Amino acid sequence: MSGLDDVLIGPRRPAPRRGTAPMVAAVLALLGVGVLAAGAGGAGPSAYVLNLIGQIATFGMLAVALDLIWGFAGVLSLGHGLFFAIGGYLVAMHMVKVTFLATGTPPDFMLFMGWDRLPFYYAGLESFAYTSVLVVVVAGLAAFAIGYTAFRSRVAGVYFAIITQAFVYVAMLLMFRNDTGFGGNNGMTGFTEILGQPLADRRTVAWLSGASILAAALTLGGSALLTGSRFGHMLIAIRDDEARLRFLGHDTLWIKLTVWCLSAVLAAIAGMLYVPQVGIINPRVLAPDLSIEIAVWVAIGGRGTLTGAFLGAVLVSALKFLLTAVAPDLWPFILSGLVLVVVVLLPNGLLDIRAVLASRQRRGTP
Amino acid sequence: MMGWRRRLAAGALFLLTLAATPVLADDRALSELLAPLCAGASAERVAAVDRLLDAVETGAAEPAWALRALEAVGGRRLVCAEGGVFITSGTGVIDAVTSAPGLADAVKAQGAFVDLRLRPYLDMGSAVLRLLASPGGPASGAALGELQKRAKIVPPGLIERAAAEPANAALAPGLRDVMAVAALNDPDPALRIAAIGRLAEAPSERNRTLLRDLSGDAALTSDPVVAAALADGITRIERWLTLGQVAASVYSGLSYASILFVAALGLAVIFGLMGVINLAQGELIMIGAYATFLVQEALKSVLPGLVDYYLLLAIPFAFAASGAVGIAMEVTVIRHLYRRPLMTLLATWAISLLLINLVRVTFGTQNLQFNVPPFLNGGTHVFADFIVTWNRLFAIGFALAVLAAALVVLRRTSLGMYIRAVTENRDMAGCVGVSARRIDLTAFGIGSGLAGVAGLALSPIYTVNPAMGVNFIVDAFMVVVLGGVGSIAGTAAAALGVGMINVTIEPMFGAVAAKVIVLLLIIVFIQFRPEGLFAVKGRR
Amino acid sequence: MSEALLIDDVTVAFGSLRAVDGLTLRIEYGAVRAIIGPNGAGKTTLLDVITGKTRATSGRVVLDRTTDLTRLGEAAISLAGVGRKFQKPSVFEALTLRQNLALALRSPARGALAEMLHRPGRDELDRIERVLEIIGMAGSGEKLAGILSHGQKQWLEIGMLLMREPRVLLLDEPVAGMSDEETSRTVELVLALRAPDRAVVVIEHDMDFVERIADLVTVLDQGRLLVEGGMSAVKSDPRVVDVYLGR
Repeated sequence: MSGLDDVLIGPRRPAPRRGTAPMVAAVLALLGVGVLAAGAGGAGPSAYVLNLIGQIATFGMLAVALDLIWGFAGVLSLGHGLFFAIGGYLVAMHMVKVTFLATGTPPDFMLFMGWDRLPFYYAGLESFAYTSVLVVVVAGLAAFAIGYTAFRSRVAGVYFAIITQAFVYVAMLLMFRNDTGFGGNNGMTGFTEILGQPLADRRTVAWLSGASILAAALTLGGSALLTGSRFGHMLIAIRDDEARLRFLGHDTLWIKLTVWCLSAVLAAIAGMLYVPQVGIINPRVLAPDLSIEIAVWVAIGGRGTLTGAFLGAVLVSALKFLLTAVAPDLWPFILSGLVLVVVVLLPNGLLDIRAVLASRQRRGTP
Repeated sequence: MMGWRRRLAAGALFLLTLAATPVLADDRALSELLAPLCAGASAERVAAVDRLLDAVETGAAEPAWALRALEAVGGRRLVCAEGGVFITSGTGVIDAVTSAPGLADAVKAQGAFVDLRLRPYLDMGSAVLRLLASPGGPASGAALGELQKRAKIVPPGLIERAAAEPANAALAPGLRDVMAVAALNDPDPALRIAAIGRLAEAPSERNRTLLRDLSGDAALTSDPVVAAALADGITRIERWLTLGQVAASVYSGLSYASILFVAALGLAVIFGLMGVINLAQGELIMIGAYATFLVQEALKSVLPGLVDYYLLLAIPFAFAASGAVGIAMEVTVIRHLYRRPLMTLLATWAISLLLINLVRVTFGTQNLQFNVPPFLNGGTHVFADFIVTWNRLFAIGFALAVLAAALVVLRRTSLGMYIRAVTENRDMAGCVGVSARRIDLTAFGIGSGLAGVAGLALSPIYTVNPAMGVNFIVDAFMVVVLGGVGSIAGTAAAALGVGMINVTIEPMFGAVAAKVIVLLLIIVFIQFRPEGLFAVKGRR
Repeated sequence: MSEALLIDDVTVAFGSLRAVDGLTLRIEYGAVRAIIGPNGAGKTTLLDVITGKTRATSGRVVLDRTTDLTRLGEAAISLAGVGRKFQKPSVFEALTLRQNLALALRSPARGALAEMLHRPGRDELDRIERVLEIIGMAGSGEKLAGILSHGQKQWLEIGMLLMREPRVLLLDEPVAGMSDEETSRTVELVLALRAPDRAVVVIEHDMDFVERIADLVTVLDQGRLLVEGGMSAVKSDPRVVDVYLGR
C-alpha cells in the first residue's frame, strides 16, 4: 500500500485540475433553469423530487465552500455546520416573524416560555432583504472572529480543525437551551410562506429548488474563476508552503482570512436556501458529526477540484436519503466503510479511481 | 401538648403515691401504666406513652419491659381484657406486667389501631428505650437515626442516660446532638444557649435550618443573649458550610480532572508522537467501559465471590480490549495516513462511527448496569456537608496511579526513551536505529489502552452507553490543545485547569456556559502561547 | 562599499541556551559573504532573526542604516528587500514554474480583490522569462515545480527571490545534497547574483563551495564571532582549526 501512497501523494501533490468545474457549473445552471420552468409550467417531476434535488444542491454548495479553504488553502474546518446554521436560523427567524405579523401569536416554543411577543433581535427580520444582508454579515463576522484569532496565532492543521469542531459543539449546546428565543431543543418549524409564496405550493418548491441549483452553479463557477486567478495560486501556495509565501512578502493572514470568510458566507447562504425547503431547523444541524460529514463529502469526491467536492456531496447525500429510508441501521456502516476505503485507497477521492486502476494494471496485479 | 417537665412532675407525684403501697400494688401500678395504652383517644394514649417513659426515667419501670410494651402497642398486640393487660403473639399470650402465660382466648384479640399522631411517640419511645435496654446493641445505630427525627418528644433525661452508657460511647456525640436539638425550645435561656452552641459546632444544612427556624420565633429570641448566640451560631455554621461547599467543588473538580486526564493522556501521547488526533478516542473509552462490564458479568456467573473486585480485576481487560482495537486501527488505517494528518481526522471519525454502531447492534442502546462494589459505596463525612465519596476518590487515586506509571514508562524505560526520541525528531531517531513504525504501533496501542482504562475509571460515576464517548472527546481535545504536544505534565496541568474551571463556573452559570467559557479561555490562551502550556521551547 | 545590514549586539536565548550571544556583524553591498561555523554555532538562528522568524532577545538588525528589522513582521521584512532561501527547498509543488515565480512578485498595495482580478502585464512576463533563463530553466515554465529535481528546486527558489530584486539575499545551505555538477552550476548562479546594490549572505558547510564564491568569510562559534576575513586567512587561523577539529 505504501508504494501506492508514494505514487499518489508522495512528494508530488496533485496538480490543479482545470476545466471540469465551469462545465459542471454550466450544466447545473441549465438544470436550474429547467427546474424553474417545470415549476412555472406545472409539468415535470413531483414536488417531492424537486424538493429533494433542491436540498441536495445546497449540500453541494456547502461542499464547494469547504473545498475552497480545505482543498485549496489546506485549512480544514470541522465546524462549517456553524455557518450553515447561521444562515438557516436567520431565515427561519425571518419566516417566524412573518407568520407572527400575520397571525399575531408567537410560535409555540415562545408561548411555552410564556413570551407574548418576539424578542428584540427579531426586529426588522420581516424584511427578506435585511435578513439576507444579516446572513452575510453575521456569518462573515463570526468567521472573521474565529479566523482572525486562530490564524493570527498561527493555529493551523489538526489544531485548527479541532478548534472549529469545538466551536460548533459549543454552539449546539447553546442552541439546545430553551430560553434563547431560537426554539431550543425542538428548533423552529411550522413555516408557512416565503416572499409571499406558500411553502406547500409546488410552484414555491420548484422556485426554491431552482434557486438552490442556480446558487450552487454560481458558487461552482465563481469558485473556479477564483481558484484559477492569481489569488487561487496564492491559496495553493499557502497549502504547499505557507512560510515560503510569507517570506516572499505576502501577508498570508489576510489571504487566509479572505477565503475563510468567503467560504463561511457561502455556507451560510446554502443554509439559508436549505431551511425553507426542509421546513425545520434545530440544534442538531450544529452536531459535530454533521460538520465532519461535510468534510467527508469533499474527501470522497476529491479535494482541490471543486467538481469533486460537489459530486461527493451529491452522491453521499443522495445515498443517505435513499438508505436512511430503506435501511437506516445500515447507513452508518456504509458511510464509515466508504470513508475508510476512500481515505486509505483513494487519497484524492473517487476521482482517483482511474489513476489507481491504471497503476494496478501497470504492476500486473488484478 | 404538655411540656415534659410538667409531665415529669406529674409522674413523680404519681409514683410518690405508689411508693407507699406494697409489692403487689407495684404490679397494679404497672398495669395501670399500661392500661391507657390499649385503646382510647390518641391524645390519651400519647399521654400514656409519656407517663411510661417518665416511669422508666424515675426507675419505676425497667427499660426492656417498657420497650416490650411499646413494641406491642405498635404491632397492635397489646390487649386489655378482663384480668389484666396482655401481649399476644402468634403462639400464645403473656401477661404484659408479669410475663406469666395469660388467658388463651385473648390470642385472637387485636390491639387498637395506631394512628399517625401516636406513631412518632411509639417510635421515639421505642428508640430511646432500645438504647437503654441493650446499649451498643445491633439496633442502636438505627435507634439514633430514629431519634434524630423528632427528639423533642422524648424526655432528655432518658437520652442523657443512654448517652452515658459506656456501650453507647460511639453514639454519644449523636445523642448529645439530639439533646441539643430538643433543648433548643427549652424555656431556660442558659440551656438554650448551650444547645445553640452545641449545634453550631456541628455545621450542616439541617442545623442551619433548625437555627434559622428558631430565629424566626419571636417568643424565643426576645432574650438578647439568646438572640446574639443564635446569630453567632448561624454565622459560624454558614462559614463552615461555605468552606464545605468550596471543598466539595474542589473535590468534584479534582475527580472530573482525573477522568479528563486519563482520557486525554492517550490522546496527547498519540498526538505528540504522530501528529494524529484520534477522534475515536471517546469510543475507545466506551470499549474500555464495556470490557469492564463484561468482566463483571463473567465474574457474576463464574466466580461470584470476586464480583466485588471486578473493577480491579478488569484493569488488564479494559486496557487490552481498547489497546487491541487501537492496534487494529493503526495497522489497517492510520499507518497509511501519517503524511496526511487531516485525513486521519476523517478516518478516525469513520472508525468511531463504526465502533458506536457495532456496539449498538451488539449490546443495544440502553445504559449498562454496574454493581457498585461496597468499598466504593458511600463515603466519609469530613466536615459541614463535605463528603468524600469513595467512587470519586477511586477515580482520583486511579488517575494518580496512571500519571505515576506514565512518568515511569516515559522517563525510566527504553520504550519511553524511544517514544521521546521519535516525538523529538522522527528522521533522526530512524537514523540511529529506532524503528519509528514499531514505536508508533506500540505507542498507539498504549494510548488506546489508556483510553480503555479511563472507561473503567469512569464506569462507577458516569452512565455507560454506546454514545458515551462523545461527552468526553471535546473536553479531552481541549485538554490536549491546552496542554501542548505530547507533554504528560502539560496534560495533567491542563486537565486540572479545565476540570476546575468547569466546576467553578457550572454552579454559577450552568453546564453549557461552563463549556463556552472554557473554550473561550482556551482561545484567548492560545493567542499568547500557541504551543500550549508545557511545550518545549527551542528551535523548530 | 556601503553597509547593507548591521547586526547590532544581537542575542537570542532559548531558555538557558544562547543560540546567538551578543553578536555584532556588518554586511556590505556588492560582496558575497559566507558565514560558516560548526553545528549549533547559531548560523540559522541568525537568519531567523534577520527575517523575523525568531524574535531577538536583545539587540537590533538595521537595514540600510535606517530600518530596524526587529520591529517588522516576516512579510514586511521581505517587502523591505530581504529575501531568504530556506535550507530545505521550499517551492510550491502544485504550481507551475511560471506561477511560482509570478507569486514572488508582490506589490504591497494590492488587496485580495485586486489579486483575484490581476492579469500579468508585459513587464511581469518578461521578468519571469529572464529569471527562468538565469536559473537555467528557460522552456520549462509550464512544468509543475513538484516534478523538479532537488537541485532544480533550489534554483527555482533562488529564482523566486530574484524576482523581487532583493537588496539582501540570504541563502541557507544552497548546495546541501547537490551533485558536483549541480554545485558547480550553483557557484555560477551565486556569482552572477553579485551586484553593486546587492548583498549576498551564504551559510554553508561545504568549504570548497565557500572558497569558490565568498569574498569575505565570517566564522561563528557558540553564537559569537570567532574570525572574520578572506578565505585563505580564515583557513589558516588556529582558532578556526581548533573549533572545527575539536580541542
